[in-house]
Amino acid sequence: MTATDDFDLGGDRPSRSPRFIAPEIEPAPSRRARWRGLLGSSLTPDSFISAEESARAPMIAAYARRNILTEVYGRDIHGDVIDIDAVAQRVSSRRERIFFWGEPSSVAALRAAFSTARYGSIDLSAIGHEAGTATLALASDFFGDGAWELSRTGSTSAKADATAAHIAMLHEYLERDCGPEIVFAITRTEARHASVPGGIAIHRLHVRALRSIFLGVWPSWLELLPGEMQLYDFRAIFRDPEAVLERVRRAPTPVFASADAAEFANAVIALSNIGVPQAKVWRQGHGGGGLKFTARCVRGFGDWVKQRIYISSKAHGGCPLDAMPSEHWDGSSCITVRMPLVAESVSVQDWLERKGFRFCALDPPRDPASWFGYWCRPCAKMNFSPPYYLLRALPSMEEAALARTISKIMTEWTNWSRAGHV
Amino acid sequence: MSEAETCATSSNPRPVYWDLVEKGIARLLRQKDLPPALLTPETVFVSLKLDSLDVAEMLVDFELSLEIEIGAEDMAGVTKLSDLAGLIQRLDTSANV
Repeated sequence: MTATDDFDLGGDRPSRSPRFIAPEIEPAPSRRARWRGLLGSSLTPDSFISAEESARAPMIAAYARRNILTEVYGRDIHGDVIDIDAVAQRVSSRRERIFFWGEPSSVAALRAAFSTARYGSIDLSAIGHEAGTATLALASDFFGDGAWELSRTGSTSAKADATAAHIAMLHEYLERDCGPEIVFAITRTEARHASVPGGIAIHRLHVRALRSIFLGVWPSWLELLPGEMQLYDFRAIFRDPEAVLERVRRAPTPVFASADAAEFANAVIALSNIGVPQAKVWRQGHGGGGLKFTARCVRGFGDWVKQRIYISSKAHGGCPLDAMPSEHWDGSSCITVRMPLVAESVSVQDWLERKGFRFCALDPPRDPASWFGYWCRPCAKMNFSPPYYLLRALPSMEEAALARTISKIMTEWTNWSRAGHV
Repeated sequence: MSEAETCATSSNPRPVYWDLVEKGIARLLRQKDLPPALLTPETVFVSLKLDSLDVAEMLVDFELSLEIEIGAEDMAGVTKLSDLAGLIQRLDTSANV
């Protein structure tokens, strides 16, 4: 019996379609009003430390974040979180904006550490006890110009709710004229395991409270679950949703090498209501010689390269994908390729798909005004741990169809891995 | 329709919805080794000191079983356990109209 069986009230129920993955895009004014309503009186200064306040004590903020995330995830945290000096520099320069929340007593203790003039007088390993943290970090290396990422989220507080803190943070930065154009989030989706808190709560925060847009899926790997690859959501929050819709209207139709990829893209566009789902298959190869790629980012920890990402970038040089050194294709858990969805990229798409890559996520037009897509391929022999929503019956037919597509991608990767390609 | 159903309010939800909440909360209390005596309609939700992760998973179970959406703004008005049952009743009823 599943958990939901317990709650079955029985009888015939009319067909309805609440969303569990992909809420529709929300106009900025209604989002603003909804967030203000949610904030209400639920967020008080004694339960929240803003990123600006953190930036006044960057070293302490870096230690507190590392302590919290280490307590939650053990060694399985972003490698860049561990290098305290580098984090402090990024916090000082506002390239990383760390915020905290918690019960008033926990926040007071953290705030006291912030105001301590001499680091030697406090136990740095103890700060951040029973608190939550998340970070808004500049992510243009990963996701193109104007992109930030909401990530490095964790909480050791059993009581404090992260919702109000996230809304306060996003509300503040998205309202700024110079704020992030788009905030991506690779959202955890795994069900609870004995040793790891599941991703249902953070996923639900995104779907219900933040209403971030579902743009696809993103393979990721937790050391805490050895041999298990997770499939997370790739989601986004736009500073100006109306401007995004306008750019979508003007952008060239996204084109793909395969029907499966085009169908997946159209399903994502239709569910999120970010445009007319008219992605199509482009049969004429234009050659991919003009597209060059640069390995601009590596995610990992210790000696383990967690994820390489290749960004197509004519302006920054680089080389064609098939000319990348072989060591670039080995030794990491996952490779991601980002490129424009234009005719010029179709032959590269085809090459990638023959090498086991699958189209995983869309990236709406920014500047230049074309759609981008992400192709991913796990490189290690791992089993896939599906998102929790694939294990349950989704009431929305459209989301259920999307879930079947996601399952198919996972199956293809698993078969590809078992066939000995990695 | 029973008297209980006729008189249902947010503080006096129909028994079927209270049963639903009771099952969900009872499971959490068992997981947390908390006494079952805490499970009354008048119990203040936050007094249970439940992990927000646990609560989120319980709400997802409610949503999927009843095919309703419990928005973050909906939960803002929930104080007692009976409020949660009343909220679920209201959402389920309006979704059926």
